[in-house]
Amino acid sequence: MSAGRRTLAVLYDDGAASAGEIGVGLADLGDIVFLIPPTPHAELLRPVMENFGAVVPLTGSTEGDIALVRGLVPDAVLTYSERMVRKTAELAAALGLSSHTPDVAATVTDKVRQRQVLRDAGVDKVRSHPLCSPQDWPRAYDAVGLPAIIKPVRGGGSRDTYAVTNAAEAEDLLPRLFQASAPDAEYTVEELLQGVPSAPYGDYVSVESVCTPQGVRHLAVTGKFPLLEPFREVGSYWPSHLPAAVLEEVTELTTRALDALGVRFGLTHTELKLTPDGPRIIEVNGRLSGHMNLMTRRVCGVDLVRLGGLLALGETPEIPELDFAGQVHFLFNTMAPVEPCRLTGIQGATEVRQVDGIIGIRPYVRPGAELPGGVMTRPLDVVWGSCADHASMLDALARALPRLTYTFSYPDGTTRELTAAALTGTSEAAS
Amino acid sequence: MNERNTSPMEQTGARDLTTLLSAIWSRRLGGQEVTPDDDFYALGGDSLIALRVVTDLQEQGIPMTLKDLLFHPTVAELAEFLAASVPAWPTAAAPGPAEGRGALLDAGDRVLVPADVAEALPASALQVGIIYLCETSGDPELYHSVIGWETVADFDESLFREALTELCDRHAALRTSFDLGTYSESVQLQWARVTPPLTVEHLGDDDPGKGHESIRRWSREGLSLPIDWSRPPLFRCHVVAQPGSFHVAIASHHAIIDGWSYGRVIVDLLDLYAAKLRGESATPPEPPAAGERDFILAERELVASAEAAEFWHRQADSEPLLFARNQFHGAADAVASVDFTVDGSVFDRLRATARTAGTSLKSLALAAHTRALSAWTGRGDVVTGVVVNTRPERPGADLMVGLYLNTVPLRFDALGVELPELARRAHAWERESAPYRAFPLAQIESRLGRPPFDVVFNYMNFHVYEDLETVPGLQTRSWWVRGKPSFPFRVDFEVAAAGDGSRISVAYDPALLDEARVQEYARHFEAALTAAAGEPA
Repeated sequence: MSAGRRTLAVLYDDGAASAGEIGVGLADLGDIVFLIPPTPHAELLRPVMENFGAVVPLTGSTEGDIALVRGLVPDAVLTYSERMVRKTAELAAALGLSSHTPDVAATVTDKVRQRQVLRDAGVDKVRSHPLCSPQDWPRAYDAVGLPAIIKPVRGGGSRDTYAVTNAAEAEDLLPRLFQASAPDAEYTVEELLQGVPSAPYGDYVSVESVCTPQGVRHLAVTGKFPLLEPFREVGSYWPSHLPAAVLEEVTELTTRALDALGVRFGLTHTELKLTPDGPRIIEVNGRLSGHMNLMTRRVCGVDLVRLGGLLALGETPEIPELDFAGQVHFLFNTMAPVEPCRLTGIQGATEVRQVDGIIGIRPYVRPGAELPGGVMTRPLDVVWGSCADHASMLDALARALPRLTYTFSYPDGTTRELTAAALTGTSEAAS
Repeated sequence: MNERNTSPMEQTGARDLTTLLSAIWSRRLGGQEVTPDDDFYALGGDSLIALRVVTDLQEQGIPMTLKDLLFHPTVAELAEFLAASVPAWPTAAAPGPAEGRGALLDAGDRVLVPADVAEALPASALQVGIIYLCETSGDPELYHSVIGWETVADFDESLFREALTELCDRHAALRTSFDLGTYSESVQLQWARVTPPLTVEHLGDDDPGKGHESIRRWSREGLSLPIDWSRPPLFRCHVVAQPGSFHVAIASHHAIIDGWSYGRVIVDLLDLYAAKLRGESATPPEPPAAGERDFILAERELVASAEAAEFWHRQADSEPLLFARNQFHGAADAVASVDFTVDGSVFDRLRATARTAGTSLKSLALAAHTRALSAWTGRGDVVTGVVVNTRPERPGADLMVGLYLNTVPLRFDALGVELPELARRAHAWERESAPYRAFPLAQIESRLGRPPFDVVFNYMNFHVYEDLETVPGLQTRSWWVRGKPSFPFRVDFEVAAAGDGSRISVAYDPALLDEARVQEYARHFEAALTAAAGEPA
């Protein structure tokens, strides 16, 4: 351990790395100060963070936060949470530390702006138009056409994301959507990218990259399981199932997108749709991909949280090659029901762990928890494992998911037992 | 990781720890089977569950942090790490030399054991010491403790009596008496069956204040009646029943029950009773069958250890802090106390300081106490007694009811360092002393020729009571406790319920110390705790 201890200020909220993962990943780099917003999630995890460093609440104002962080004299300001990307860039810029520039942070967290930049650079011509009220719809329709996807300008996890295929659907959806949203909610309407038929795999992938002033390096292309209606993401696997030619198209487009957006720092997570006309950008995220560190630490011995810490410290670490040891590794998430309900029981976790190829299952939601429903990607658990190839991965999941049963009670007093297979539409029993 | 040669002791330690860790993980992960290579996360663990596991393990006397667990996320890795970072663990789980009733007694003694005794064991050194002090002091209140509370539920006397009987069946300590004369050594007799000493008073009035008054009266009167340690059981229970609720008090001899065990007894009792009210039968977790026997075996092994004797002699061999030689002997009469509280926000900051320093709150509080002693006495070299847990390292040790405590000397010099550094040293002391912590205090005292310390520090966090929250249909409130140990100056640092900070009570013998002087210490301790907490963020 070095004599002069460095300080890493981590803006923490629910995100791509857990408080424990961050504590473990950054521990040998210096002293950690967690800066937290007043969210229930951050409060809940506070005792965990306190085991790894100091925990300091953010003030809520930009000037206040800058003064706060200056007082800490940190050597790095960083985050693993989408919600904190902009704030982190602001604070790092004020202190002259390595980070996304505020401009890049604004672009990677604003889907309208991002589309505009990509279009202007000729990287990707996906049509899009902002939507700030139902009255904006005719103009958005003229610009984008149908079918379209409507999603919030900021935020992830497929929250409030809908497909619209005809005018009647839009008329029905928009008043409801804006009524249920915050007064300043902004949406974007984009051309709905139609994927090539890819079953049993998903028709989209993501590219995990490291950006430095010297250029972009891709760590991995992540394969995805098919989306669950409407746009819920149920999991990832490495390596992807794509043939080399497509892989090259995918990574080449990602490089061009990152260049166009001016990303010169840190870990990024870019999602791409596989269309008949080749890959198209879904979106670029300026942070680590969710859950991925769980896999890389176990499989490749690479701690991406630590890598993120080194980059934020301004170092030029060796970018690791991810070695999957000739196997396929996956993470799969069971989805909560779209109707509001309460989780009352989980059965079968032990049986799932006994399936060949499955390594672990961790519940994210405990019995007694109220689930708000909705179309957001709301995982009940993560199931992970390693198999010889893609076919045996699908086979392991097909054997595991029917063994895992969730029991829910609904506001009308009814109780339903649903298997993970039913909840993720991977069995005929899904209803 | 470095190549290391592991000593046989480390290997034994790792093996025992593996069993213990697996049991605690299993309990906190919903009772599923845990094998040494299972990953904590893969079994469904998350960092909040990890925190509970760490608290449980610390409670078992294993000095570890959350970091240790998250860095070593399988039982095998964690056990290896802990075994290597602690010099040697007591090998309490080693099988005994012989099985069967009275196997640890001399053959000549064995034939004297009465037929209706299920098991006869040598008494532990601490049990003998406590009984001896009680006898010589003539003070019926010494080591005679009472704990009381109110239960919001209907009282059914016959069901409660059944529950109490089952409780005695579960815990041998509640069926134990002592014989200090008949045998060639002092012996504890665990009787096959006892009739629980339950008395019940009915009040027609539903004013809980009156119920509380009645139960406290019973306690006051009861404390003047010494508990006869030669006749089982060494506890008694009184209930004041009112419409809709009842007050309970349990008075007991400390020789059979420590503070943690009290919690276990009460949680089990209410669990059993609540089930009976529902017409079901409860199955509280089973304590290990031969727990007390293993404890006695480990104590024997340690008494014979020259290394342990030497370790403690070095810790204690310094000028006495407060009392001249022979000024104080036997049991003190610590009837007075100076109390203060640490409020929730200061307490939370103390916790944060401890975590940042990579130690426990206990180590930080202990560091603040030694700092206060130094400021108070003007000494740069202080010795304090510290109450430590001596539960055997084995699965279910926290379920055992008995006397599994010891008070041992801690010596600190060069006290000028920052408090977090001092806390790290306290933590290191805890690790170094772990293998020796059950070494009898009487032995340390006898080699030194005087009490090894004048001051005792006792950190209490009885989170076992959290288990009460899982007893369905029973709510408890209005807890109170009385007890009197023999030390002339004892600092109790008690962690209150979540968010409520902590209470500090400095109990002292007014014949030996003035109140003003004790107040002075309390101010130093408060100041040290405030300094350790740091400025509000």
